[in-house]
Amino acid sequence: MKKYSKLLTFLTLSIIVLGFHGISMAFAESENRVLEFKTLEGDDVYLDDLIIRGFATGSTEIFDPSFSYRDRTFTYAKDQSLFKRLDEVEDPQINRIRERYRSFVRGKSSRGYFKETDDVIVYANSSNAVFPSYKDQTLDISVLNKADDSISDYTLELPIEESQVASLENVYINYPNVYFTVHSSMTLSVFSTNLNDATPSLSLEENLTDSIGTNIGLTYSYMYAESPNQRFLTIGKLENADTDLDSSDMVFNSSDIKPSHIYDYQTGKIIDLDLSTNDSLFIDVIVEDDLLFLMSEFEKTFTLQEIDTDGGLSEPTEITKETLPTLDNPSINNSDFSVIGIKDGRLYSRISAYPHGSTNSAIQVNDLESGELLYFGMIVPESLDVWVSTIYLND
Amino acid sequence: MKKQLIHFIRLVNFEFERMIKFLFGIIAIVIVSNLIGSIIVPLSYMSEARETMSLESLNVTQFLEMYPSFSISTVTNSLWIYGPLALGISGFLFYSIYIWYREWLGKNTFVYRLLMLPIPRIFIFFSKLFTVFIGIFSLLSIQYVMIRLFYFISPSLVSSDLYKQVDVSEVISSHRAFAFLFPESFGLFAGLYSIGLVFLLVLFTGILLERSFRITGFIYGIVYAVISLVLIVLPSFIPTIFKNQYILYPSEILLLIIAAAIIVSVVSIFLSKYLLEKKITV
Repeated sequence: MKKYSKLLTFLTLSIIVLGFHGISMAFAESENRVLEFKTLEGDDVYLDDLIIRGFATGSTEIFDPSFSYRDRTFTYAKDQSLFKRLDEVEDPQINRIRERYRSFVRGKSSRGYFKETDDVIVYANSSNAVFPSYKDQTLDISVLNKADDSISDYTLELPIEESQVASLENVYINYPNVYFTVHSSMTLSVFSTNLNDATPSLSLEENLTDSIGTNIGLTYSYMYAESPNQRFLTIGKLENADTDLDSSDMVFNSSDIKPSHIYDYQTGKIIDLDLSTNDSLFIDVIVEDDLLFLMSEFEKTFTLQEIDTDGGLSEPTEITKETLPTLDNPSINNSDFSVIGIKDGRLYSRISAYPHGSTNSAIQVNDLESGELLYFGMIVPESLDVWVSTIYLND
Repeated sequence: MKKQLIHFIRLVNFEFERMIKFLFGIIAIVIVSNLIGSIIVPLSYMSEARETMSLESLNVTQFLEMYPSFSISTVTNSLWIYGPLALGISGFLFYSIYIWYREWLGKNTFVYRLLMLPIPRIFIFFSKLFTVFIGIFSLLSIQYVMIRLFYFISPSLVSSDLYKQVDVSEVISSHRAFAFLFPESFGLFAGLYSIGLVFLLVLFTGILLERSFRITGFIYGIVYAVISLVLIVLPSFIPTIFKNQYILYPSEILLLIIAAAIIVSVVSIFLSKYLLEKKITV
């Protein structure tokens, strides 16, 4: 046994030390890292509608601080299986389709446009989304018939000159019709196809630049991707003269663009928005199914007005921006507010506050008609820096 | 079975005894360098801090607004830690090759005696592999103990106003090298060190090819290593080959890489077994 003493010593040392390290890392991570919503006001039943992704970092840095919130439960990414984590994408609808129809989704971009109905699943995207190629003027559509699992694939040529470079900006799927908003040569156009045709092809629906004017672009939300379930396309006029319009991408930061028109894919109508008297800090258009709302943000409040088909605005519903109790000076509310969306007559908003140099995140839910606060709560513990990257509303 | 296990342990112990001087040497360098670093780095920080505060007429609060405070991470990110770490890694890389070639050095080639032992020859292969791993883990253990030791040395050399308490787990997680050497989870640990295992298996097989066929064997070894590498990374190129980034799900690519690594490992072991039994020349 004596002759094995050195080997045994080093073996034992390695096992003890590395085992101790593993245990201490496990303990360090579990310290005060349990996330939950703290209700400050209202009923937390409205949290059922939320799917949240973000990051929670604390005094102990761990390899992957990302988390998700769903069905009232916070889960750290590192606690999920590696394979599930690898395959997961941000959009919960696409995730659901990927899980249930794995072979249909294979070969299709996870950032593509998917629409699921009771009978079919439709995918639409530009052909070069799956593999970049220098010039690709084609669009791909794929339809899965749920009844018999048959798949129909279509590749459609854009009816533009070969020398032009096209960029797909948005898609609206209203099966069997599919609408593509495309930017090429400084022109924003809408093309459509009917998949019930014998040989579907793309035809020009509307040249938005000709109809509305130049200097227009699309806005995007920081919080969630444009969904192919949205019937309306928000178009804005470029306000920031420093922003270069001469780029292939016609989608701009919301701060550079002020909404001016709304295009209705289904009717082809262009709704003019007269916002000349609107002196708010920030304006956005929110869509819920077939309803349109104009959100105007002010210093301590924001208002919601329903937009009718002629661009007329209803009486504003005023909503107070809630103040997080963790702020150094609650009378100075310098938090960031952003609207998540509307569901079942309720407006969901996200609040990010920065007390003592850290980041706190909270959710506010208001009744759309009365503005009444239905729920206000924040993610705790406050000692963690909680940054929310995306929020979706459950279908 | 029990007898064979005893033979294997004896062989591992024998290889370990031969490695012990090298291991002690590396460990001594790590300990000395780390100790010096744990003293010099905080003293140097304090000296620079005082000089800066004096030159720019700053009090401690003002200094901390403009410059970072001292923490154990300051020590671990210095050359006194990185240097011996790099030396240890390159040392073990060298030893992984030397552990074979030493058998053929000198007048009385030791490999003859090794190959004549009444044990399966593949035990020689595994005992060397096991010995290298024990050496690596021993070195890592010493490094980890030194990190813990820093908490007793460095803080006493720095003013409490300028010292920021940082947990060991954060020091390790935020360190470029330690984050990989001391992974935060067992899964990551197994994954990273499995890559090291596959690397060693391919390296050992390449060495045995060279020892079996000399100059031609050297070329065979290089080719074998290249083929092994290509096979393992090939799944990540399938999307490029098929011109579709989504032809495989990320989990499927990972599974294919793991499968390829297992195939390479198994082939390496069986090829090495064949070379040791039939082809190795003394």
